[in-house]
Amino acid sequence: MKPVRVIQRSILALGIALGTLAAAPVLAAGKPVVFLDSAEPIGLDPMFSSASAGIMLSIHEGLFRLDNDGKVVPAVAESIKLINPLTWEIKIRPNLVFHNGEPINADAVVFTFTRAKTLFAAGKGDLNFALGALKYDRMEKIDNLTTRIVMQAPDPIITSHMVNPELSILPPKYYSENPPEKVVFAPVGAGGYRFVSYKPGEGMVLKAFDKYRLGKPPVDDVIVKAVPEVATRISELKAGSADLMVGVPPDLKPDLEKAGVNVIVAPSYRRLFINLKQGQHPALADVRVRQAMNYAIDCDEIATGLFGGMAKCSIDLVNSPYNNPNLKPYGFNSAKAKQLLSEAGWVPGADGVRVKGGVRLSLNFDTTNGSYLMDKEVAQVMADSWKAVGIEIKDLRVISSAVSAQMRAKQGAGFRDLMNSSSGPDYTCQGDLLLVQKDSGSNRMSWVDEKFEAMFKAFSQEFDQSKWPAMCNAAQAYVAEQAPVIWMFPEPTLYGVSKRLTYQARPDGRVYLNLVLKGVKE
Amino acid sequence: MTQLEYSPEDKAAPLNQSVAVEAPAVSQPAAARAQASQFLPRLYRSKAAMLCVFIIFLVVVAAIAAPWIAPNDPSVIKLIQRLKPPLYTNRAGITYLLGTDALGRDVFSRLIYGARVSLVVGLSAVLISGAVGLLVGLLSGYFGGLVDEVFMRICDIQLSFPTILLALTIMAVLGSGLDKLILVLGLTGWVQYGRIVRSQVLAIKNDEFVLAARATGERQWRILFQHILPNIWSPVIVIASFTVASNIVAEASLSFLGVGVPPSIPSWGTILSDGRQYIGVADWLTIPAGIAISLTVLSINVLGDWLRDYLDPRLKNIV
Repeated sequence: MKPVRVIQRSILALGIALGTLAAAPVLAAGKPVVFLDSAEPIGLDPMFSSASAGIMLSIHEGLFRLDNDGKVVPAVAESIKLINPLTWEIKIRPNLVFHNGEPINADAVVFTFTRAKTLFAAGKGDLNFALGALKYDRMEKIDNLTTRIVMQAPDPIITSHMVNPELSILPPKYYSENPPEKVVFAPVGAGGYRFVSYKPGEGMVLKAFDKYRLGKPPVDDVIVKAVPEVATRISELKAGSADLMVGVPPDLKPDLEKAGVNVIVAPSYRRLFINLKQGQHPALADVRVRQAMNYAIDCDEIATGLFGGMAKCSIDLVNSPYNNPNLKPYGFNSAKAKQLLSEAGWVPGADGVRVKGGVRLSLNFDTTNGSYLMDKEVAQVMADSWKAVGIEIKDLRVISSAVSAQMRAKQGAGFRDLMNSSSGPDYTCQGDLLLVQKDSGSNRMSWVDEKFEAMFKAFSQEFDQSKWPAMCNAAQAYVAEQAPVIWMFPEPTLYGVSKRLTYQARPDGRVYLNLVLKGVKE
Repeated sequence: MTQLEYSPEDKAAPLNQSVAVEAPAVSQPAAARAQASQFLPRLYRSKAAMLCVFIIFLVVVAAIAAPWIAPNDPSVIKLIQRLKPPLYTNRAGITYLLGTDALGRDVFSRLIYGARVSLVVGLSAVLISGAVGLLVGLLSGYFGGLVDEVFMRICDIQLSFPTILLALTIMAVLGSGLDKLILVLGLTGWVQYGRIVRSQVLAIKNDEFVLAARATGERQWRILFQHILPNIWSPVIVIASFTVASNIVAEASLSFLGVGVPPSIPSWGTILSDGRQYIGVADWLTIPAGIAISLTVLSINVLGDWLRDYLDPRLKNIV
């Protein structure tokens, strides 16, 4: 080969190699993945905005977290061990840093748990749920990478409470030097994505954190946009201006697939209920009325008709595998519902609506539209079913997802007699039972039952795991009978995913971006 | 006389170019009777106006006679027959002319009942805004001074907010409901009445018949309501016709946005809103409601145009 040709070929090869190298960043810096969420975030300080949990745990990281299979796994923590019934020792992983470079150590953990405690005591922040579950006295520093948490009462499932996003570990310098109102939309965490910017209506820009403890997430750039209307989310996905949405109505699965969008159907541990608020309408204090309201609903028809057979009605208080197999759902029984209402003293009035002592059995229902699958439709079907047995839904009000989230974060403050709601999985029976425990942030219906409280207290402090199944089943059976909610079913989750995105659905329906986005084709 | 010349009785009318419609300045019952007698012949001569009258008549009949003409109960939910196309016949032999919605309800029956909500909202809100605007305009124009200043500044403030945005904000705070919707639309729509009535009052308050009434010692309220008010009805009627149309659109818009009437009440806006997410698979949910809103609003607007021309003395001979 002639030297000139060799030089020519070498230059050509070098050019191709340089071209390839130059092209690589172009691919990496391609179109961001756009995720359509159902509501604008209330804030991004984890202690002030428990509502945006999915996004929160994309930016932040707690001591423990739930992996994609729903197991509690150490995150910032390396290990935990019981010192005595009230004290646990937590080892922190070495060499971890926050997005701003501050080290993650015992000081950060102590700062976080002290801040949460102080805010909760002052009635600030959205900590009802997290600190209603994790009742600790204090967090102490032992050495740079070791802390001890002292509980108020023995708690064998402490790690499952620590997965809550409200208890994400925060950089002490950043959060102590800046007031909450300044950091609320300028979060610094330790999660897989670091916050870049946020403008209401335009979205939140996130970038993969290259020093994340599990390595840099596979998708570099993500934009989270709030689109409350399901119809608009569907349109955006079909038009190719978005990559991911949660809550595709089953009816629209074929339509989306025809438009070239993948629809992933995943089983879900997120359980749906209709909360029955205590302390407002006197009828709801009577267990017979609550039972009648359950009997009046044809849950199977809802599951088949509205959810395309993807849902299965149950007493969905506790998730599998801890759910009591002997519990049967109420089942549609209009005659039984009428009988119970009459026994409770509510007799049909002139217009068919039941009355007792001059009080009409007339309730108000607050429903979201698009926060849960077919939520507004379910509310209308239920209102129609209750009407048939003499219970009037006087005002069926559609509230925004953001308002509903705020109500739920504040233990249901502000909602009227009925409100749709859900409970995410705790992956423990004790955690799931918090739905109806009086101090818990999950108890949004203000239902308080002394017998259940006694059962729960004994169960939640029991370290002998062999006793757990019997205690769990007994508590479930009792609550099922008391019907503090309208039981429905675990919500089937349908994700709309663009062809270019590789996505792994989680059973809790949460979109922890660093765990569910597996790659993007450019 | 050419078509653009005024008739003798019209020459007495004040020429106020700032308002859309002129009114005769003096009380002339005979002229008014003569004009009224021409109403139907002139309406018959306009094919477009007659077509609009026919459409509005159909909507009014649908609204009034909904319980008798709707083939099914619009609220009855039957999940087993959801999202069925037009002309679907169920096992019981009931045919659904426009199909069923996402809860298995009859779209045609909901459309008929929806006319009720549209008309009730459209007309009731006009009554409220008309009454408030008329009173404010009369007082402001007649008394002037501080009263005028205060009312007009309130008008300016209200006009600085886009009506739909203001209504959206109030409804978001108050919550949804037919009564609240009517109140909100009524209280956000009075400004244009107020301004037009004020300008009309200003134009005639120093005319001879008003001065004569004052000279005879008549009370202020009698002068306002017995002498001035009957002479400024024409522009108010025209504005009312347009406002009915805009209220129907506003109701549909607010219901579409989820803050109008509750989802259980069938209205054209909620039908559109409910059907939107199914537009790719069940377009029969949105098209009929869309057509109903468009045709009704168009008809009212065209009829309003005709009415304006009819009541405008300068255009009397070309209508």
